[in-house]
Amino acid sequence: MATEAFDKLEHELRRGVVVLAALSQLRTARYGYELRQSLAAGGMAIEEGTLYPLLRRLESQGVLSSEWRTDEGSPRRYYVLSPDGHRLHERLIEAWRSLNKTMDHLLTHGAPDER
Amino acid sequence: MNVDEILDSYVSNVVKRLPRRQRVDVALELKSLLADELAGEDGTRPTPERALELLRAFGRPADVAVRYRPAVIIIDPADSRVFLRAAVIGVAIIWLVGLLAVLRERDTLDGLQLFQRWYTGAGLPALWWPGFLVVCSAVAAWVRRRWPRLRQWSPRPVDRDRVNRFWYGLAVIGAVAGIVALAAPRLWLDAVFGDRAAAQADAAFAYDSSFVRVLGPAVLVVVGLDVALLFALLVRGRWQPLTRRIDIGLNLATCALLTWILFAGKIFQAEPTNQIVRLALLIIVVTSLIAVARKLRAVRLRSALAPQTGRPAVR
Repeated sequence: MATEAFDKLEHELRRGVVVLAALSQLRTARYGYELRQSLAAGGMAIEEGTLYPLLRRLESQGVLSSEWRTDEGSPRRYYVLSPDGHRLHERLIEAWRSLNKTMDHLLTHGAPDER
Repeated sequence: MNVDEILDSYVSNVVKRLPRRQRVDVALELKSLLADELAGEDGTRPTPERALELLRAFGRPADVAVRYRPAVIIIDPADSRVFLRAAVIGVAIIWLVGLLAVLRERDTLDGLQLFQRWYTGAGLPALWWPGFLVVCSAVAAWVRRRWPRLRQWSPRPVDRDRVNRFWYGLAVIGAVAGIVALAAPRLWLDAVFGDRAAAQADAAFAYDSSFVRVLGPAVLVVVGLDVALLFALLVRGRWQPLTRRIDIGLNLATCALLTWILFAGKIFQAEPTNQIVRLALLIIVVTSLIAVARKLRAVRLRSALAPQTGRPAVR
């Protein structure tokens, strides 16, 4: 039960940072499988069934732009941050750092009445 | 099926659930990505078994298609439990009423025929109710998204103890009129139709003698107590813990008495009147039980909130 709850909650935590993690790797153009490999190599493994549709949704929201390329044989769709995506990415980084700092403080010092 | 056919089958199952303008593009990309995933694992030649394993991990095509487009919410999560409860209770009531209607023919039909009659008359048709609720929920969800201000909660003055004297006065008058109508049906027949009330109308509302002896007076007593409670509330202008307890007790007593009447002998001499009145009694019992459950829940809620708000708990 505890393991099941942990898995579920950890999944929720990771799901919250999937977008930021993906955007962080898309300053340069990458295709889906390459992005997934890059994230996995950085310690952020994301299920393919989650990541690939996410790229499409971000593109439809104007965060990413994409194009088909056939540089290395088979055609692949490459994604990169759009100008709006760059601005959004910067704001998300700020929000993440602020949140991270807050959480770090809470986890280190506990609640006010525990100090 | 070989690997290519398996991938094609999966991809076509995903994209057929997407808007037409996206289908070709997503199909090309998804096929290419899945091929990359299969080829990139360990450099060995992909097998159909490995392809199936990958695709099952990827997700059901319907689930994957949902991830490609914004979710469409038909029933707001906040409404789900209300929807479920209303759907189950509604269907149960329709089934029960249908069952009672069918059981009237138990002397002429066998068990299988009764079941068929119930299934075609109420069992299956009852599903219109959840369908109706889905439409209502979808409209409500759309309205809330279209006009977000409607979602905003705003406090309402809550004085649930105050009695609206106008409506309670009307209720007392209506209840007294109901007692008179129950005790002497001839009176309202004359009042409505004058001397034109046919003999058949008299016969239709003639009580069965056994009902008049025992259950009739009991009904008058319970309804009389209800009127007395309404009158007391009208005079005092407020609910009190004692009157709330009496109200719940009277509701339960009414339900018990009406259920007894439902299963006892005839109420009226005329069978058609009996059937209509039994149906009405069944509806009254069900709605009264729901009302009692809500009142008990409200009492518990008020008891729980009382220490925090400084209001006296309902004793």
